[in-house]
Amino acid sequence: MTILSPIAPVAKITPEDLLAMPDGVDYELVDGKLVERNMGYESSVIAVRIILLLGVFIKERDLGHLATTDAGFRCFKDDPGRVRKPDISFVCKGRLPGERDPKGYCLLVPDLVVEVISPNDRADEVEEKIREYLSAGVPLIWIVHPNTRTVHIHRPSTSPLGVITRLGESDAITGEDVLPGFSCSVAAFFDQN
Amino acid sequence: MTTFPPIAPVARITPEELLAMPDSVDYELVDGKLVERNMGLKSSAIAMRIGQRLLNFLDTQKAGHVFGSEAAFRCFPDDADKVRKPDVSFIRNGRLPGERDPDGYGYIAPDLVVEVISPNDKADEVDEKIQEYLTAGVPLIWIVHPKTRIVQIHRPPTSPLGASTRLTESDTITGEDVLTGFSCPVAAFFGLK
Repeated sequence: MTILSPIAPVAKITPEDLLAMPDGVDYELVDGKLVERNMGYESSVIAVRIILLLGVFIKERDLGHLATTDAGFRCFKDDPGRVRKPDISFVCKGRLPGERDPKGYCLLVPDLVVEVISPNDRADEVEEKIREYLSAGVPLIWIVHPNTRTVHIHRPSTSPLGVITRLGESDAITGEDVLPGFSCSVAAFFDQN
Repeated sequence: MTTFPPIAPVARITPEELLAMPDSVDYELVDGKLVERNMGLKSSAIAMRIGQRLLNFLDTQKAGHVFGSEAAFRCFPDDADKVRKPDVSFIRNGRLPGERDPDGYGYIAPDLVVEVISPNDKADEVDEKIQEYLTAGVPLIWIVHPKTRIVQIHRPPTSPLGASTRLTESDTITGEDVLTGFSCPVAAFFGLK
């Protein structure tokens, strides 16, 4: 008779463990558990398009730091061990000490978070991320839906612009008070040219 | 050598076939394909609670008809064969001929659509539904998120109240100009934590 050993409780993974993992880039960390990030090809292409649009604007004006999906943020007061990796994030100039990009995690709250929805993204998990980013103090969140070619903009409850705006592809999206002067058509996020 | 027969193209399923299926209640019909509806127990309980609140209100106001998640609508201008089944729906008085509840499908757009998010609901599919209902002319849509205990309200872009609102459990939700006089704490939708 084989006696099976009792299953050991799963150890909580720390942000340091995650950084040291060879495939750490594929995961976020929530409640000490790895949360896989599945980005579809279409969503990845759209994210790159948005980065190019934002990147040119930000670089020309020297406005701050734009990061892609590998950048991990530990900026959640209710769980300092939580790590989220927005598809795109932006931190305004003047907030990072010495304007130096942190080597490991960014402990500051991003000023803009962009998530591009992939086919496997669950509605309740997206909503949880929105709530976490809003609680952390992110002033502007763009949720980009490739299927419907819409962008949902989420803002804190105190925003005079309202908490949610839903833009269609015929609308223009602006940087509001986070990236003043930035404006582009929503269609430019989705179209080849 | 075995020769495989060519794979036959999948026949489009019609709304009439869907009605005749023994397990039809489990499916919506989009582009001639069955789309499974997976409602978790928790989401089902919340939908019932919302339906109960609406019915209690209508007992005194006699303002219209409330339907549960089996009620199927064919009210989509871009695809006459599309069948959607909101978790809860409401049609105000004066729109159904003779105020009689239709036997099969509802061919007019509901005045209120409620979708309660279940763990398997995909973010892009939820946004697709919102877009379809808005295009069909639904004036008020509640997307209920059990996990974060929030309700997203979506309205047509022309609404003076704005196209979207996000309510938390400390807020009160109202029937706006669709169910005038209806008001209920958002927390009542979710029950105990």
